[in-house]
Formats: sequence, structure tokens, C-alpha cells
Amino acid sequence: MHPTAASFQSPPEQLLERTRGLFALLVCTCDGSRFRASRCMETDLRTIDELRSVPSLRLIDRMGAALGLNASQAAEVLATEPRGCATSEEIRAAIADADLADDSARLERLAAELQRRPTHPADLGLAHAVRARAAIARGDVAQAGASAVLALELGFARTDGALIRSLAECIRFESILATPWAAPTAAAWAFDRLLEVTVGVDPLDDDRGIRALRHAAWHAGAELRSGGTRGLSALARMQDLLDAAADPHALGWVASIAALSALETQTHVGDGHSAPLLGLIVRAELALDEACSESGDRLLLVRRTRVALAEWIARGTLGEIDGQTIDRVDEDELSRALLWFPTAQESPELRALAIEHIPRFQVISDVQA
Amino acid sequence: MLTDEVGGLEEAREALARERLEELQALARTYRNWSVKELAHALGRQPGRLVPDSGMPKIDLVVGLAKALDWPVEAVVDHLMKPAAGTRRAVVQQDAPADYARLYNESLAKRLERDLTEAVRLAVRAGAIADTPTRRAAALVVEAQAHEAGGSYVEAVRCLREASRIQGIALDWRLVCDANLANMLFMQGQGTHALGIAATVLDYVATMKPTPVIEWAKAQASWARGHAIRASIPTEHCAAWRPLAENAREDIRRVVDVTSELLAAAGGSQIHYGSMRASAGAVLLELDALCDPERASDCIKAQLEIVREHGDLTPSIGERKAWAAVGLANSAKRFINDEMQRRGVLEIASATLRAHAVATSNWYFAHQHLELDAARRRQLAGNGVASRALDAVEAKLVAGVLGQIPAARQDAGEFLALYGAREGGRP
Repeated sequence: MHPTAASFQSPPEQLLERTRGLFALLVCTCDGSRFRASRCMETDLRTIDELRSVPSLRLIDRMGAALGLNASQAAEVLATEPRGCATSEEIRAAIADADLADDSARLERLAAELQRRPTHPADLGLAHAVRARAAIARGDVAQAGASAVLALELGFARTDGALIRSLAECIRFESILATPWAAPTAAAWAFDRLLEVTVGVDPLDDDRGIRALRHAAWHAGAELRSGGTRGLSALARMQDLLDAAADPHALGWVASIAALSALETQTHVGDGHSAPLLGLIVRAELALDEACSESGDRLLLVRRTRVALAEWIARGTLGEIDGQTIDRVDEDELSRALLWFPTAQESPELRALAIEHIPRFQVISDVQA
Repeated sequence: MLTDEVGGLEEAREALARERLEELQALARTYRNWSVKELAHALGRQPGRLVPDSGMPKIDLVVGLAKALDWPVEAVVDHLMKPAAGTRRAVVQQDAPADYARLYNESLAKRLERDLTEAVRLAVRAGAIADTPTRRAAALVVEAQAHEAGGSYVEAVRCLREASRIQGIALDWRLVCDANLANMLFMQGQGTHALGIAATVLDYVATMKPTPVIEWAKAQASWARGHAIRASIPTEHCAAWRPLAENAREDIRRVVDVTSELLAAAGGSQIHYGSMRASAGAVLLELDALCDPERASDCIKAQLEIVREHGDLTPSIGERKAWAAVGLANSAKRFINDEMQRRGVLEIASATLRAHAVATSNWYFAHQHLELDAARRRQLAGNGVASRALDAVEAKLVAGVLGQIPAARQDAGEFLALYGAREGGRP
């Protein structure tokens, strides 16, 4: 994933302007005395007057404290981007993009934007469908279920049919695949119902090649899970499908379905039969590894992380790994997994590794709490 | 020597800050699968200058790091600024589990007396000696309510989230925690989250045998859901929103019914049930006007009457008036066509909200007041009339709203330009 600097950098003018604005507010609380205001924040008045570049976190901390805010609140005041003036159509186009990129954080922001400035009651239903999609992208099936139920209750506009269909297809597939580490949700009916309400509508990303490959992988996965001789032939077919998936999106789907179907099958076959299944998971991971190094696509990285997680769980079930032997590379792999899929912390296999004692995981779990 | 000691402490603090910044940068690289060079490029720094010597980064680096991690800026700042482990003084345990009920009740009493620091302290002590998960959660709920009453919404949300995460808590109390959380999130302007949580609570409640705790959760969740929907309804072209307004009205009517029953069962002694019932009555007027526009004029009159009622120092009276003022402002925007009349009504609503916000540190009402006031100031500026300078009380309201209401921060630039620019500039 090659970074575009602009997407991670805030305009320095905004940060500087708001710092001055906060100080002006502080001056108001000190009866208009700039000198008293600077004394309140234990900073020389010249430091404020001569501020020409972005301030340090320490200065913001002091200014916030003088205003009764903690450092994080003051920093948020400076950093929050102004209310967007995107039109309803622009927001919908952005949702479609974020859906394709599997970008959970962006989908959450867009859902909040829709809810904050609805132009039609159906915007609220769409906002919750988008939240369901965001939740499923980070593997939180329970949250996705609750949001999907709410989306159905609030309803949609007919004009949003194609967008809802795209979201619903992804949510449905992902809900089955997403979290081998979590218990299934009681609201799974809502995922089917979301698809039903848009039956007959073509999704936005109507790439029939990808959809056909995804369905083929899905059928092969179902046969694999059924076991027996059909399972064996499905294993071979799945490997062919992995080779056939040239498009990164198609590969993302096929590799996920292959790895997670293999993981699910492994849980109900004996140890003696698990080697080919583990082999399929590793093969899916390697295919994604290669694609990731070529394209740096966010979607591929997320899928690869989930397949790697499947491998961890599969090896954990087989007793091949233990917490004592985790090295730096493993730590990287596991922290990436927990950053993309926070609910994976609930996995008994990962808990068995006692990862909560590793400092880096403590940071992740503290922040995500 | 004291100076050496201070210098040593400063060095240790800088070393800790550097370590934490490096830790977060390593996480960002792992998350994005970036090299050091790629991270530096994204953050606009030279690869060798990603960590300043002081460990205290410039704010743009913090924001960039938060974006790279897809975390809120506050999560990154909190991690960088939190004290080192083990620096907190050990608290001497002076209470026994048998003291739990006394501490819990005393905390409630202190909150009603508005001795909020003491209310928080007692709730923390109750939580420390709680011998069951449910008791610990209940103490956190009481602590959250004390924080909320003192205007620390962020702390209130932290307590409620912590309570919701406790394993082994009784389901009815879990629902109370979630319903309270939905309310707090609504107050912070996070309608989507509030609606989601409140709806889930109401689904659960519908399957359970009613008890006072369950009924209280039902009232709170209905209040949160009703408000989340009500607040989504725009002030223009609202005819299409009537079905949703009816849903919201149903929720608020349920609040009236449930709190009436709870109040009757408690023999009228529980002030918070009465307070919520009275406020719900005022909220219903806005929804009545939306559902039945022909009655809008009567509803506005009724809202005005509540706003003009002779108040006293009882919090519940002030809260009812403030909710009526919120509804009054929305109804005026929707249904009063005469501009002078509308402006006059909005002034009344704004002044009521300001008075309540200043008296109780209620940032939701303060936010509503500031939005009305900002619109008025914009209008005055458009007419070429300079608006008056900000006084200390209003400046604190602006700072409080920006700090405690995340949804208001999107307007931070405008608020600071409108208010902060009028500082007067005395040396």
C-alpha cells in the first residue's frame, strides 16, 4: 500500500489557525488579557505571538488544560476536518468506493455523515446499512447484524437499490466468512433479508467475471466442508480457482473463501486429514502475498491478513504453536491481524497464546477498548 | 539537588514519550505494511526525523499517525500522554464489601446535592469494593452519571463503556449500561451509534419480564432512540419525515408511560423518574407539531409557556424548560414564517438554553445555544453590525462544547472564527 502523502497530512494552515483561535478563546476567559492567558498556560506570550509553524503537542496540552480540556480533546479540536459539503450523490459515490476498498474506517465516517445531514428519511436506513458493511469489514459480525436489522427497520429509497445490493452481497458473503473466531450472530437473517429486498437489482460493481468466480469458489467451499470424496475433488478445484484468479479483487475473494472453508473443515476432521487443508490455507496466503507485493492494494492486504489469521488459528488447533515461541515476525503478523480485526482477540486459539502479556498487544487492546 | 531531580524527571518523561511514539509508528507500519521511508513520506517527514528528541511531536505528526492507524486522534494523544505505569499513588483501601450499599447511596445523594467531586469519589470507592461484576457495573453507572452532571461527558462515556465490557454482569444491568451509553452518545451528537445501541436494548427488553431495572433501561433506551430520530429530522422540507417523527413520538410517549409507572411504584420519591417524565412531556410538543402541522401553532404556544414558567433551583424544572427550548427553536424554524417573530422566538430559546447550560454544564444544551447564537451572529455580520465581544462565561461554553461534543468539532473552525476573533486584544 503505497502512501499518498496528502491523505495523511492535515493542512498546516488549519492547525495553526485553530491554535490561534483556541488561544483567543483562552484570552476571553481571562477578561481579555493576553498576558494572563499566557500565564495560565505557563508559556511565554512571545511563543504564541511568534508561532509560525504547527505547534507541538506539549503546547496544545498546556493550552487545553488552561481551557479545561485534556490534551486529546484540544488536539481533536485542532484536527477535526470541517463539515464536508459533499452532495448526496457524492456521498453515495464515496460509499461505493469505500465498499470496493473494504475501508471500514471510511465507511464509518460516511455513515455518520449521512446520519448527520440526511436529506431524505431513507438516508438513515442507508447509513445503518453502511455501518453494517463497515462492521463486517473489520470482522465484527455481531455489530453488523445489529446495524442490518436497524437498516431494514428504517427502510431504503428505491433509487439506492444498486448501492444497497452491492453492500448486501458483500455483507452476506463476509458474514459467513469473516470471523472463524467469533460465535455466529442471531441476526444472520437480516443479511439474507437485505439481499432479498434488492432482489432483481444489479449491484454497482457489476463485474460478472468476479461474481462468477466468487460463486464457483463458494460452491467448492461448500463441497469441501461436506467432506468425503467430494471434499477431495473440491480441494483440487479450489486450487485451480486460486490459479485462475488474475484480478486482485477476484483473488481476494477466492483466497478468503478457500482459506476459511479449509479452516472450518479442519475443525471437524481428524488431525490425520488436516495437512492438505493447512496446505490450501498456506497456498491462499502465498497467492495473496505475491499479489500484495505487486499492487499494494488495501483490500488485498486486509484479505491476506485474514487468511494469515486463519493459518494461526489452524496451527493453534493442531498445537503447532505456543506463546513461548512467538518471535518479532510473528508479533508483526499478529498485531496486523488485531489492528484490522479487533474482535479476533476473542479467539480462544489466540487467547491460548497469552498474547495479552506482549506489550505491543497491550497497546492495541488499550486503544481499542 | 531539586534542579537535578527535576531535570532527571524531564529526561525520563522525554524517553518515555519517544518510546511510545516509536511504538505507535511501528504499529502504523505494520498495519499498512509500510517501510520506514513510506511512513515518513506519508507523515511528511525525513525518515531520520520521525521521532523528535523531546519525544513530544508536533501536532501534524500526531494527526498523520492517527490517520495512518485509522484511529481517532484522541486515542493516539492519550497513549502518548498517559503517565508511566506505576506512577499512580497506591490508594489505601479503607472500605469493606459491606460498605458498598452505603457508598453507592451516598454517591447518589451527593449527585443530587451537586457535590459532584464527592459523588465521583464515593462511586469510585463503591466500585473498588464491589464483590460482584454487576455491583461493579452499577458503581460505574453511578460514577458516569456524576461525571455527566459535572459536564465530563468523555469520562462518563469511558465509565459506561468499561461497565458494558465487564464479564458476568446481570443482563438487566448490562441493558441499563447500554441504554445510558446510548444517551450519552446522543448528547455528544453521535446519533448513528446512539440509535444502534438503543434499538438493540429495546429489542432485548421486549423479550424480558418487566422489573424496575428493565423498565428503567426501557425508558432510557426509548429516550435515546426517540431523540436520535428527532434530532435527524431537518428543519426544512420535513413533510416526508412524518412517519419517522411518529416513531420518535411513540418512543417518547413510552418514556412518559414507563416513568409514570416507575414513579408511582416508588411512591414519588425518585426524583430522576419525575424529571425524565416532565422533560419528555416538553419534547413531545415538537414531535406533535411535526406529526400534525395544523397543531403547530398550539404546540409553539405551549413550548413558550413552559420556557416562561417561573423556575426554581430544582434541576428537573430547568431541564424541562431547556428541552422545551430545544423543541421551540426547531418548531420556530419549521413553522413560523414571519421573520421578526421567528427571530424573537429563537432569541428566547437561545437565552433559555444558555442559562441552563451555564447553571448545569450541560454541553448538549450549550451546543444547541451556540448553534442558534452563531446563526444570529452570522446574520448580524451580514447586516454590517458588529456583534458583541465574548464574555468569559460564553468563552468557557465554547471551549466546553468543543471539548465534550465531538460532533461540534466539525464546526470548530467556524466557532473559533466567530467567537475567538473577538478577543479584544488587551496586552
